[in-house]
Amino acid sequence: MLVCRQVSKSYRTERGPVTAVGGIDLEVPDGRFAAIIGRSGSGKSTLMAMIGGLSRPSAGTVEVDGIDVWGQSENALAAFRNERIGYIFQFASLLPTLRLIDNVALPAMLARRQAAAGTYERAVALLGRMGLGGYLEAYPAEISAGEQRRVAIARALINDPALLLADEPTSDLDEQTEREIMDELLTINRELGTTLILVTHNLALAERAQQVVHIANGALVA
Amino acid sequence: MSRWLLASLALQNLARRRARSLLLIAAVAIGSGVVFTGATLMRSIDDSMAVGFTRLGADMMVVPDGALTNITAALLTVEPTDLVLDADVLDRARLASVGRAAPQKIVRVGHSGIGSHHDLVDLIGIDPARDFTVQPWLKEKLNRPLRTGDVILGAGRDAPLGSQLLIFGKPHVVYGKLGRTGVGTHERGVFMSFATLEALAGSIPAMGNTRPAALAPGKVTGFLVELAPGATALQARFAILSAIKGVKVVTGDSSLSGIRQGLAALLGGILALMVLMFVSMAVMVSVLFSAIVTERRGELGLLKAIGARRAQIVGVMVAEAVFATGAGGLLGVTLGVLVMRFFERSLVYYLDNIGVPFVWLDLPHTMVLAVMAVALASAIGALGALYPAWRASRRDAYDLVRGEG
Repeated sequence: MLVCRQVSKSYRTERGPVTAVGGIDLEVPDGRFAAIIGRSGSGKSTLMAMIGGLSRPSAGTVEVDGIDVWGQSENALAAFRNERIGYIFQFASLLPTLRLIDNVALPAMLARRQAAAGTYERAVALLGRMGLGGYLEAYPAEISAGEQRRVAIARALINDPALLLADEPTSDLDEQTEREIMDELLTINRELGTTLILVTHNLALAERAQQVVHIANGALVA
Repeated sequence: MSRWLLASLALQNLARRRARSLLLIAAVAIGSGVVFTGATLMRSIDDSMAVGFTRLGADMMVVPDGALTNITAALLTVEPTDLVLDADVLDRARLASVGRAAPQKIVRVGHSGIGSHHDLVDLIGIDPARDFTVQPWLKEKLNRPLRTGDVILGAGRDAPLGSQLLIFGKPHVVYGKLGRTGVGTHERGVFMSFATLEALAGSIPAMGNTRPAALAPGKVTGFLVELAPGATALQARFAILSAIKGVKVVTGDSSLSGIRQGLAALLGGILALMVLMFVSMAVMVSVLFSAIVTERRGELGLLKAIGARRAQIVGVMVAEAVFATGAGGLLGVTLGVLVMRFFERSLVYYLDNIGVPFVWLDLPHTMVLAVMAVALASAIGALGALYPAWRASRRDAYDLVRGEG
């Protein structure tokens, strides 16, 4: 269960403080597919980053399964990001010097939870599931943007996260690829029971969500 | 496990920016090469100075007033003369400005059996325990202390080490041979302990009506004097002439101490330059890695987003810097060795030919310096990258991913 209480984020600029997100309350039950929609600059990605442990809120709390995300030590927060969160960015987010299999295995290797062989077996299975079983040894530059996004999904799943956070994962892809990737994310949500939170400004995509959170100017729209 | 993956990530990052990595390695190689070569040469010059200045002999000579002296040779050996001094005259005076005093007895003889029939040979008696001008020139010697009956030959005389040499029909053992000094007395001299010379005295014929005065017990031809630390030649000269009557004080070339001080200052300057070079190298690496960290904010943010701890973020950047600067250090040491090879074959060869000794630092010490140069280069890389990496690791992952911070 994800619970946000009065989560805010302000930035200090030369022209004074700017509030990106202002006092949002949000609850997303386990296993649900929630879509956060809103116009560009409305604060969707900032809210998502605070949920995912990537950006510290200026005020408020974020809880995942009863754990106060931002109340943890640095190392515990790193472990939380590693084990509980699968984050898919709105851009190609693979390390260019690593092979696809290494990119996928990396979060598990950072955690040092599993033996290398087990990690790589799982990475192979996940890449196979994404239809990239034939590209294990390839480097990111050798595959298309859509395929890179699939690798990012595989990487997000390597540690069996409780929350899969996808921040406009298909914004720069063609419709066909966008549909395929969204179908994949929904299948994961349905089959694995992973909570999926999707940031998008595509209303058609949002219609497929079980819960829609509309944000404008950093605040929830009733 | 993650350590190896992060290390390989660091290596791959270096390979990805090949030109920049090579330039960094080259810059560090030049710096560490200069430092390694400089340090090795400095130590070698320092050692050579220690040997060289020891070999250059005394600061002054004390001989009987009226004795003829050859200034060039004076600081290595006294010249043969009929005038003598009491062997304990300097000891009795107890002068604070006199550091060491080496007594010598010199007898110039003919028909000794050494060299051709008419050759005049200087038989030079030394006190092995007090001598500091003859033995430092030993180029080769038997592997034992000097004994009665042993002789040391100047570079101008040839006889195999350990061979028997007859002097006035008495057998002596060639204990050692001196290197080339360029000073005639040394080149042609036959050196021996006072005891050997005294044992030979009975066989040495009188020159005219008198036997050489230097052979008399308790008498010496003169003293070679080294100043006490901090004492000046003028102070010592005044003290000797005031305390001992009937002596002459001969000082050598005063430029020697000037050369010694000049070289010491030069070495100090080289050391200061090396320190400056290391500091500037550390600053350069730090600036470079600030730029590299800025360029790779997205990548570091991504690592943080997928769960890398701060130590891992810092580790990957520091590892990258250490790999590059360590490689630079290794290359620098290799280049330094090549430069010193060149140095050895040109300048050292030239110096050796004109009789100026150059003692290379021994291999173990050179190895220690090489390891230190590589370790320092790596440490500079680590230190240079540490601060920018630490700053980046403190940023929010989201800021880094968005290219901020």
